[in-house]
Amino acid sequence: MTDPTPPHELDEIVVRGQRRRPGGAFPAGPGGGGGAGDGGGEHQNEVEENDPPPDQIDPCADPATALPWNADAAGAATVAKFLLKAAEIGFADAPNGLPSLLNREFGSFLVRGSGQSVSTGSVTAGPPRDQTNPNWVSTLTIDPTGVTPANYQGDVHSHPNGNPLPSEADWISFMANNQQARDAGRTGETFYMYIVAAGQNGGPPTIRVYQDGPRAANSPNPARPTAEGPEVNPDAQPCP
Amino acid sequence: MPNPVRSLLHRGGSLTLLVLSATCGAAFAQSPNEQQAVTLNPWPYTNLIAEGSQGHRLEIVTEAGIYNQATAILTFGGQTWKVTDWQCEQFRAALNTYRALPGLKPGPGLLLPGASPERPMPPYRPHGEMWTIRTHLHAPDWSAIAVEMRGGQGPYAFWMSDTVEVIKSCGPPLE
Repeated sequence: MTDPTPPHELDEIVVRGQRRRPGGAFPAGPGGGGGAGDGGGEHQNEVEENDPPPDQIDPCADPATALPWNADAAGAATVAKFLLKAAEIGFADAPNGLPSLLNREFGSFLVRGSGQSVSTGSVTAGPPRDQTNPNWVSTLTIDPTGVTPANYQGDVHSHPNGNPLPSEADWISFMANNQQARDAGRTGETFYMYIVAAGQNGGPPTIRVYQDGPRAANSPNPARPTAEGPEVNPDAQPCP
Repeated sequence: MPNPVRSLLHRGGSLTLLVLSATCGAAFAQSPNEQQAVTLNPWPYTNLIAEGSQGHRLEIVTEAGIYNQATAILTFGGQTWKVTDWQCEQFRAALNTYRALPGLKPGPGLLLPGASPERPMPPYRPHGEMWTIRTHLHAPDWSAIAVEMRGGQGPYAFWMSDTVEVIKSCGPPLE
């Protein structure tokens, strides 16, 4: 082996993707992917006193930054698809006509496309919440149609109980999927798991990202995160 | 009317029956005293013990000397369910599903027939209960080997989780 860099030093301390920065703002980028509620069309140059300095580098110009940028956009777009699915199911999944992620779990794989593009796989809805069982745990099985070790990029799934953290089962299962991709030679890539915490008390869902960076196929798995991952901009847009 | 599962099991093929066939085959090759020691085992043969990360513990056993009847003993949250295949059709169906589970092959995965980066990813349960399953596996020559399987994904782990729910639906826990 000629690579002198130990695996634990491969993860750079760089904020990438469309995640809330220290100070509270989401990064603006190509197409104005900025804060929630903006139109997504104009680049946002407004800088307030406490905001971090504006990005000097186009995140879409470098593959290393374009992929997490697009993965975050795909994660955010998947939430809209979850809500659409809830609206289609109706009844307790869309009380008063408003789709909700509280009644069941939704999930999807993320699929790598050409270049650095990332898209959502088939959206699967789990069984409805068992209202009689306070210890109810979802048994969602995500449809893998069209997903292979060659194009797998991660997954997005919701937590109806609003927990933003991955469970031990979440993490071990994520690692197992990543292993399949690494076994296919993708040891230089990062894989992403987006957890969509259903908004409690009528609030909107929040999206948090957890990732597993480049490493050898036979390297030990990192421990499950115990701190909440970075929050992803719900209006994140992909690179043009 | 004969129990269809029992009839099916008599014809062979289930994992449960295969374990016992191999065990008995070994006993017949031993001395009479050794055979008696095996026959007098007072406790049902344990064919499968599974423990889940959510606190489930499931044993599937066959009665000593009555190898075509399966009993499930499930404990969870301080409660116990005891179900037999002839009392609960859903459990019987679960056993039939178990019989049809695909065979496992040792890895690494890329050495398996059909391995390719383009093959489909398996179905995925993000919150799949993590199971530790202790049982016996059998080769085509009927030789048996004790195994302990751990994981939350794939047909065996999914079957465990689904069967736990089936057993709970068969009836209330024991008083």
